[in-house]
Amino acid sequence: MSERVERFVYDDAIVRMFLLATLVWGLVGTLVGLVIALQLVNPWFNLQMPWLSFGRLRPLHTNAVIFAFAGNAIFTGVYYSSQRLLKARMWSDLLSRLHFWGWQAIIVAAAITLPLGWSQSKEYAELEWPVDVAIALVWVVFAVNFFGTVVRRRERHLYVALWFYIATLVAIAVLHIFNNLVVVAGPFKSYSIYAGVQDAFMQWWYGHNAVAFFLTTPFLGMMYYFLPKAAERPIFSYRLSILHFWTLVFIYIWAGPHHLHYTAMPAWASTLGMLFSVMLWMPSWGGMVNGLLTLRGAWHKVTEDPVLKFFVVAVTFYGMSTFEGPLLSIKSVNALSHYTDWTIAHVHAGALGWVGFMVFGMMYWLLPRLFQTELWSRRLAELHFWIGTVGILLYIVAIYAAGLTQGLMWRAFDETGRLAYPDFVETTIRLIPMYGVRAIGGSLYIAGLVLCAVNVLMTWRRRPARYAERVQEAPALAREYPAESAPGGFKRAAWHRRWEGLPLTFSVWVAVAVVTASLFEIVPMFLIRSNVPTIAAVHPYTPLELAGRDVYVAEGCNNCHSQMIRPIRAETMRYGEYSKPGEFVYDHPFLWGSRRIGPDLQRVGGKYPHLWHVRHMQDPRSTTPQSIMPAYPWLARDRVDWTAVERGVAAQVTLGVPYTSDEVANAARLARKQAQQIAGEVAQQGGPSGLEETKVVALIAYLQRLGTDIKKTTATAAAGTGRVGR
Amino acid sequence: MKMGDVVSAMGASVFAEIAFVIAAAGFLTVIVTTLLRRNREPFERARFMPLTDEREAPHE
Repeated sequence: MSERVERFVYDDAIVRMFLLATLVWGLVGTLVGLVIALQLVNPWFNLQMPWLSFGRLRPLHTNAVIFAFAGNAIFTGVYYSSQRLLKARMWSDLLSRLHFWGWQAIIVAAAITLPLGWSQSKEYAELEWPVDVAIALVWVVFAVNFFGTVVRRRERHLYVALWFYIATLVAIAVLHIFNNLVVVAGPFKSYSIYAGVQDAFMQWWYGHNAVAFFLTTPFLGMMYYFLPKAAERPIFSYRLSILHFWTLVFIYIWAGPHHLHYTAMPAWASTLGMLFSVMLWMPSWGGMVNGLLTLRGAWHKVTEDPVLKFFVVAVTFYGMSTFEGPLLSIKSVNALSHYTDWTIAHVHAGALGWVGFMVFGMMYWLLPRLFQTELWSRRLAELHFWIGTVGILLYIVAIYAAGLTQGLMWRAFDETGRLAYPDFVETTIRLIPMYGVRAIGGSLYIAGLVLCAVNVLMTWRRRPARYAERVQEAPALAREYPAESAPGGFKRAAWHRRWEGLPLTFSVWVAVAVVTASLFEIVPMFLIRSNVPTIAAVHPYTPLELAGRDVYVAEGCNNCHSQMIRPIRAETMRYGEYSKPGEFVYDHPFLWGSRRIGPDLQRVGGKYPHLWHVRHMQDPRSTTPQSIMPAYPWLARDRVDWTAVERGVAAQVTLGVPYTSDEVANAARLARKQAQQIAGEVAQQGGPSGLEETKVVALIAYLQRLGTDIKKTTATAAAGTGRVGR
Repeated sequence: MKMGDVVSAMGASVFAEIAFVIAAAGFLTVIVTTLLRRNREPFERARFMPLTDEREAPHE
């Protein structure tokens, strides 16, 4: 029986759109990164403007780079390669455009809401609930379009790159939905349904796997497609790529708790996270070796081709980062590295080296094909490569040095057994020169990106007046694998071969692997009571403290300050009693932080008088001369929204926080009363008067409460009677 | 009685170990299947897919 040959045209217009968006958002995201890097060199760069302060811009930088730059790059690669590997045009041009414009609208929404302080506080998941809903909807559009194309394909076998894309689609949907479950408290305000330890667990289950399934698996899919294309050689080992894929899917999802070593997280979860992280080293290096060995016999091309140069360095950075990740997950190493710039250096080696250079390699390979003309300047691309490489090296070497320096200074003791650097700011200012070098490295990387933009622009200008639509042809999809492959071929292949030809079954098994692993960590975490022993003295925040907590979240204080004292001698000496899981049972969301640019605040309550806080917010240099913290003068001007306080308490009650009926009914009145008391004390201490309506008072109420519950006497703790049971 | 009581009483901390065994077994199955000699030829074909994915129709 003769096979029916079908003709079709690929939709490259959508690929061009995503490619240009990648470039634009890449410039925006990295420029915001440069601004916040400069803010750490000198707080003047905060410009005393709320929208430009470090705490608000840092989430914008991470979200822009991850979801705008890397996200659009993923869609560029997926739309180009999937059509060709499936031998089919995308299922729906309309859905492709909805996906594109929907994603850009989400990015614009992020660029507006994050500087306004509308944040959920969770890292890489800061966007508030309306934007989260939009992300879910656009992701569904993408999934429908992708799987529709898979169904309409003309190629029976799903090439391994497509497996990585499917894993991304499935896992990101699961992660995004379950980490962003909230109770809504306003148009752009919500509270996580999880609290304390469990919220931290969910966040880092999400956070780590966002790295895995947004910054790793789709880029590996692109590596397995574009690297052979550029090298004009097949992938070194297809078997190794299969092992690479399934090992990542089976192992990655478990590793999240390694972000929470020595915190109030139960030790079993922490150890599990460490073990699976160490196991990840093998498949990751298998993938790196597979990528580099693909160039066997083609290394001479690397010297001439900027595309291959970018790919080689990208794959090398993938190997370095995936070696360093397991290393950092080892508890004893993590005790030193956690909260320091070491983590920042690790992240940027992956983001700038692996993700960034994969994107640039792919871009330069795609430009002549998408714009149907020669690349405007190969020499400019070469220059971009070298400037970018030097930029990355400057950046990461400086920040590795900063991380090690600060980690060692925090734990240094003098000969009398006391902290060698008891004043936290000593450990910060020591890093400033390294932050300066980081800014130079970042500037070079951005300069390379600008060269890339020039090259794209000039190539685009040389495009034909009308793009030629190259008609493709391929046989219609056979019901079974081609007969010519038997014996020993597709027909006799094992069950895994069947999966590959059955995309739905394949996707279901990927989902099963991801969900099963997740549930086996999540279920015990949520349902074993001994994981979070309760403390009788811990009570919910007062309405004003809750409002102050909202200010803390909006200003992004958790980007620089942790609220988690680890049971390590250097930390308990510096900050006080180590943190207990039961202290966080009313923390929706948790605010443990992941980086200490400033000191930990878990036991800051009662450490300073109210007036110190007022002056510190007005001008941090007035209380700590060498501080690099931004000033927050607007907090003494901006007024508390008392109706939002009522909504906040009501939302907390919905979450099960045991407020008394009096607190619920009179939240605003009680908050005002406490605010007047604090404002009066500030005036008595010689500070400004008339602060009782301002946000700074709410923030002070919250800060003064932090970590004080466990210091209460039994009699004081018993005063909490009459609360609704939790 | 709440769900937490039930799960706490059943010693659910072994869940993670059970899951580990299941995941390891599933993964080993994939490894064995992948390394089977009879799959060598189809995998060899699949390697070349990115290099053979564009076939322009002849101009008419």
